[in-house]
Amino acid sequence: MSSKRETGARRTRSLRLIFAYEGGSVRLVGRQSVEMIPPPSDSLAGREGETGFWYELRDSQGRALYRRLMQNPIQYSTEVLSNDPMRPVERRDVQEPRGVFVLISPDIEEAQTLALFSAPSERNELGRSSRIIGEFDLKQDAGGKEETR
Amino acid sequence: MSASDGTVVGTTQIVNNGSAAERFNLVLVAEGYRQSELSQFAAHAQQFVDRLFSTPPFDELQCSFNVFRVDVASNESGADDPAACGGTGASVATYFDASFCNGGIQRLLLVDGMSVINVVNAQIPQWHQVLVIVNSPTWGGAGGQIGTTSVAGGWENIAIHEMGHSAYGLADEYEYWSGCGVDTTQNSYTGAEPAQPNITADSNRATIKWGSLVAASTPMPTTTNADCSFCDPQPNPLPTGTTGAFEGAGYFHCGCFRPEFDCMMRNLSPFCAVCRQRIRQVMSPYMPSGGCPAPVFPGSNFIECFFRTIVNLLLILVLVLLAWIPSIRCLIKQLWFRVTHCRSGNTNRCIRL
Repeated sequence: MSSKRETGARRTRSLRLIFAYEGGSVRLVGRQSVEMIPPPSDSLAGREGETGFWYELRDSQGRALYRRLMQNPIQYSTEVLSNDPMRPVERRDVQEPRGVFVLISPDIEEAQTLALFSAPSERNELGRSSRIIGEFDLKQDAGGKEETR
Repeated sequence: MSASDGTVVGTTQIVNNGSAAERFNLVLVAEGYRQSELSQFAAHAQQFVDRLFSTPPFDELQCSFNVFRVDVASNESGADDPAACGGTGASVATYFDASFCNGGIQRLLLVDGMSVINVVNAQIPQWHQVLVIVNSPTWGGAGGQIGTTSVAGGWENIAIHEMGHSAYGLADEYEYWSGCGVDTTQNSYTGAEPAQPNITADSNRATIKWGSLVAASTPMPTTTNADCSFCDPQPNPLPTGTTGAFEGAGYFHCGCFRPEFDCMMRNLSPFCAVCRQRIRQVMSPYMPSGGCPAPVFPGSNFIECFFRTIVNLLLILVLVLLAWIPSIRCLIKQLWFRVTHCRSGNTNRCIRL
């Protein structure tokens, strides 16, 4: 990854990508290029067979340039406060998952696509290996508003 | 119930450690505060910042943060609290349309996420993490980059736990889903290795992903659960802060391990060493070169710091004199004796005040 983080006159730029989801459908609805530092990349070593949520920037050859692990932002379940002070948080299944989420990545010229990886988040499928649930062409219009700041 | 139900008043930077282009920018947004209540929001925002920066490892990472407060005045106070979930039935006109009882879950407090994104994009385009603080004393909240929280007692720790997920990719370390004794499907984890840094299915000392933090003397696995149909009831057999492989994590009673007995990501205790390491790693690009200088308090300047130092030194001097010079203590005792005798009518040995 050739991130352009530097001090002084030239600064790092990041892409903020805004997604909307409903059920299993995820849409890229907006993106902005912003002068800010993105979170550092996690290891680009293979994660085949692992379970969790992460996103990758990929070049035109499909090679990973940047990867970031995070909590699944598609809320099939949510964390709520319990009544037990010894176990203060617990989870509840969400009946109709719907909402928006935001991903931040480096804004780099070589990046062609952004791929989302996720394991099924329904409770009865916890632990299944992650797979690509969406791949978005960053060279095309987001289908929503696109801004540069 | 929408943006027509209030006004974006403006933004105040409450922690300033340099250009927003170089720091991690945390944004706190007001919801359900009327114009006259925005001073309360300012107090709540400061309360959160104080808690965050007194929570390790954030205490040593303060200078990598900027914190902004977005004052949004709503026409009415609080959040919708539908009766369908046992709430009060209140329906209030607020800017981001905060409501409890989403998906039938009373404590799931959500706002109009896209509306929050639009406001924050306009106010602080370089934001990394947003926390919407909802002016309600009823328990509620939700995680995500656009986290929400009410201001019920202890809300600050819940919000820090949620930041652990959204900003640092940390997993839940608790060993149940709906509660111990409630679940019937969370007995044993048999799935793939979790990608998150703070839970694992691998308790092998040689291959566990946080192996560098495990002492040679720590047994592996460190604890095992004797009854996988229930949460492990045993207390911590080792000193607090020992890193190992404690069975019960990632919503399962058995087969999944956490690094320490307690953690912010398990039960809102201080972050375990593995989580602290992950947070430091994520925050490293935002640290100024040379690391954090001495903590900077909002609103302080050189003159204020100088006088505070002088006053503190004088106070210390007075305390040392009182403690170590017997004659002063003796003098005080004599004065007190004479005053009390004077009051009791014995005028021979008294001092009149």
